[in-house]
Amino acid sequence: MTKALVIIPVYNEAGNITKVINELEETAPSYDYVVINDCSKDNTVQVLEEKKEKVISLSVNLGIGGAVQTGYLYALENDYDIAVQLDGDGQHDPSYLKELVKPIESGEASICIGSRFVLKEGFQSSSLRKAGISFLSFVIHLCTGKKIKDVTSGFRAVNREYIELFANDYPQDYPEPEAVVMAYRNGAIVKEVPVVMREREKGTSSIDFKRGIYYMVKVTLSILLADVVGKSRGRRG
Amino acid sequence: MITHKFQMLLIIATILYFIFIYQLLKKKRLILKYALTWLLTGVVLIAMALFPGIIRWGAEALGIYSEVNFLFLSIVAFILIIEMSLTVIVSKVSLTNRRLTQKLALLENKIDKLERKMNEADNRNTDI
Repeated sequence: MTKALVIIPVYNEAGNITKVINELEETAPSYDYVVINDCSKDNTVQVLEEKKEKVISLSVNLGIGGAVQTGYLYALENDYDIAVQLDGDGQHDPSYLKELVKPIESGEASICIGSRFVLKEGFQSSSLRKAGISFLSFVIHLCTGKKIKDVTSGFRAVNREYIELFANDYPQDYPEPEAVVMAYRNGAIVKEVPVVMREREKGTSSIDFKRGIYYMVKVTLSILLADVVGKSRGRRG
Repeated sequence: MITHKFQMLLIIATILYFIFIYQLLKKKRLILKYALTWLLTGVVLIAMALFPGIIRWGAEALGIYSEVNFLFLSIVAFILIIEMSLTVIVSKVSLTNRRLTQKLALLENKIDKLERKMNEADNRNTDI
């Protein structure tokens, strides 16, 4: 029996998180989950009081990378075979968990990304963002020779090997594209499966236009760096 | 050309600089390991102040017209080195901080679980 853990990072998601958890418990009752509360300033903690045991609360805000990594550490400590990241804002539909985990269970892939651009259905994001995402996808293609469409998707499943890798080393902020490159440099087989994403209901996305520019510069550099670091590591052993 | 007046000023300033670092070290406001770059800077500065020939030689070797500019260049170079090492230290502290925060959160979660188990066990005992 493979043990799967769903990691749900949240920051100020009091308005969304209950719904996300209820939906998860209904549609995928066989999965364990943990909510990583990244030192939310709203009443996320109070909202989750009933599920206290499923909540890991960081006492200092670490950002999404540090929060997700906490989930990987938990998965490692508790011997999970598969870890799935699921955003706490309700964008990711837990009914796709099965499809996301299937390639991992069968050993077909080591990382499986839920992609909204394979079938181009559901919430597609603004055209500006899509342009940004395809640019990052292009940079990753240049570095690794591999094509991943939805590189910023935080809806992904990884096997035991990558639970271990990410528990030890996970990018800090805006980690998704960089994590893909790290995985490739480690010899991962990455697969994309089509999912339909929803627009967030409450709260705002963490990236506005000004941050978008910072995001693009930072993520592009981190992809290139991860690629170089990975290569030098690869040569050594 | 380094004038005697400027040389005196440099010597006094560097001595004050050393006294200041010494005070910080004594009060443990500064860890010696991180003060090494500052101390090295001080040693070079005092050597330059005591033997202005070093400055003259350095300026000539690098093709710098004004001697005092060589002094400034050296100070800027040291500041850059110190800044760089500070950023390295901050990065390291930030990584260890992250790990500590994560471990703390995982332990708290473990304690929560254990406490509930204990409470349940207690309740069962009192029921009997």
